[in-house]
Amino acid sequence: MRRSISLPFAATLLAAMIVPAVVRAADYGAAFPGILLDKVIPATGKEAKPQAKAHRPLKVGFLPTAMDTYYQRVLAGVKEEIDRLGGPSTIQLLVQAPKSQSATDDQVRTMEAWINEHVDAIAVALYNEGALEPLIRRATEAGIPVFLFNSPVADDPYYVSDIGYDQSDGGRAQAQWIVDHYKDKGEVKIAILEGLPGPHTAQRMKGFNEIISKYPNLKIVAKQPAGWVRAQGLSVTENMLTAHPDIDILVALYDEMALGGLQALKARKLNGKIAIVGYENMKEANDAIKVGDFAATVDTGAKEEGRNIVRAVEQFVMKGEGVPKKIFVAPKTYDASNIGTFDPSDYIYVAKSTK
Amino acid sequence: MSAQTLGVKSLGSRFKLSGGGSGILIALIVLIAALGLASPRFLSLGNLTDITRQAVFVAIIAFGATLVIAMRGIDLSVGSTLAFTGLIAADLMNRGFNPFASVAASLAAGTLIGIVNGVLVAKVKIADFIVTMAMMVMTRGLIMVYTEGIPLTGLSNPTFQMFGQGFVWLVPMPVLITIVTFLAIYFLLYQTRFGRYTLSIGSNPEAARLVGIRIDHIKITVYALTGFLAALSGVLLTSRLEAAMPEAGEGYELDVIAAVVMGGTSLAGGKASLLGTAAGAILMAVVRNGLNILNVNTFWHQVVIGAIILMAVCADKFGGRLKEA
Repeated sequence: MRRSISLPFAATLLAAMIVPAVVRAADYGAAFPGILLDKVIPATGKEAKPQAKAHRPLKVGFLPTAMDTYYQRVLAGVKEEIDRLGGPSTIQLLVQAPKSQSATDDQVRTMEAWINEHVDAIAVALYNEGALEPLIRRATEAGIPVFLFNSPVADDPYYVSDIGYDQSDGGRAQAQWIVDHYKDKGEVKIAILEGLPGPHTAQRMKGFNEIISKYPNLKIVAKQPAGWVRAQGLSVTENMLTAHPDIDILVALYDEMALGGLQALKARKLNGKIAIVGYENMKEANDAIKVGDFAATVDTGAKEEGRNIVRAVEQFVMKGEGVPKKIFVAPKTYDASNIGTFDPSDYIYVAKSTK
Repeated sequence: MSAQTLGVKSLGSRFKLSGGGSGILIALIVLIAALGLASPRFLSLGNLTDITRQAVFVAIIAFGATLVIAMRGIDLSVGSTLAFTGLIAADLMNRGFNPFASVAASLAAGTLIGIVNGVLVAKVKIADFIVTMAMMVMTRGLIMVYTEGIPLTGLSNPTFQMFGQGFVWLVPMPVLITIVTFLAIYFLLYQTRFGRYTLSIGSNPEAARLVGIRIDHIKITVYALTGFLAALSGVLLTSRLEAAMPEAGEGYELDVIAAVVMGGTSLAGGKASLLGTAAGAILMAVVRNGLNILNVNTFWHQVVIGAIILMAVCADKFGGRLKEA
């Protein structure tokens, strides 16, 4: 008896879920160019609901985990996309950065202030899993949609959309470049500069190991944290080179550390001889590829992430339409063969009038 | 008493360890021997050069902090001063100024920050902890406002690169600069009236005042010197990295205090061991280097450093008691 009721019910439910999902998938591609639809996960139902707000300007809070080269690029994308929608008279952007990376308590204060101010949307980058969950819930209950960006682990049920890229895809891209260039070169020794322990490092390493472990000739001989920063990238590379003077590839999970590693190689005249594979395609890394100091780096689409934040706000808060739960794009690997195709304007905010 | 302890003691008296610092020397020797056994590459000339070159940034500042702590003071602003002054040098260079002029301006700025610290402590009589903490967060904030978190790069001037990357024969330039700094401060601390006054302020400020020592002048000078040295370290780091990093020197204030305390200088003042401070700074670089070479999780560094601080201080206490007995 029970089964006879539940089966058709389940089938109807399933159909109701699948059919609009397929229809919506096509729209998503139009609204968010390059979106990886296989990364999209179903909504939990606890998110804020889309609503077409009429008042202008909309107040949108932008809250990264720190202010640095990466987030400046995201911000450039945010600003350009706001310009496309009509500039500050359409969306008034509120930018706050905590005083240091991982200063989650600073983020809490900012979120609280914005909730009390009844802003129209909040975009926030999480440093850690579970971070800010109570605040995201509070904002959602207050009717303020919360969008996440560059958050390695998005595990609370309240956010509307998680915008960025899959961190493990970044690690996979680094590993794939190594496989493509070294899989037939006999034993290859790899040293790795990791970031601070945490979800960023874990996710990137997970993707990296997934690919590398399939090739027994590609050996990871050393793996040490260098705190995401250049000074430590330098000293840790020096120390690793003492233990393993014969490494072939230096991998860094962030270009800042890779640039420190480059200083260590330069002092030993090993630049260009040991292949550096970086992550983020910072301006300096890009330049280093052009002169042969870096072998490759992975661009994770920082500016596109910024554009996608505003596109999501436009869909959700201005048009009142649903958005995918994950708006992820694929990281792109650059090396000497394709670095010329990279558009340097991707690093900076280009004001609309001069565009 | 074993011959070894006696040896260290005579070494200690020769370098005026004045009771402190023997613990750190023993710890350093044991550690170097152990790492030498664990990895044959550890004792190579190249690696020892790396270690000293990695130690200098903390060491140079710690020389100044030795004087600060010996007169019962504290300076928490050094890490931010390092980043701030490194930024000034880089910014001026990028604006086309001569490298020597840029470095001079950077050193002047560091000295000025030190003077402000000193005046607020000695004349306005605000607690040193509060003054230097305020300075620490203020300068770091200014750096973030000015750079927006983006490093200043493009410092390809060979003259400027020489400070952090050059060599004089086999000795790296930053190490040579550190040795010269060490000798200068060693002379200042142990051979001049200024050094004796600094120590006497630490051992008994009331007595120092009664015998007519200008305590405020000495204090301002010591803070100014520390600011100058933080700037020197900032110049060397910026030149070494060819970039001024907004987050440079974060946590240095504690590394510096750790080096000084490990070295046998007492937080209660009146006792300074500059050689011990140098050993402390080198020891911290040795631990990091050893863990990297052995591919051990480097977060053991913090555990090891904490343990060594306690051991070194206990050893000094124990040594001191023996002498009194």
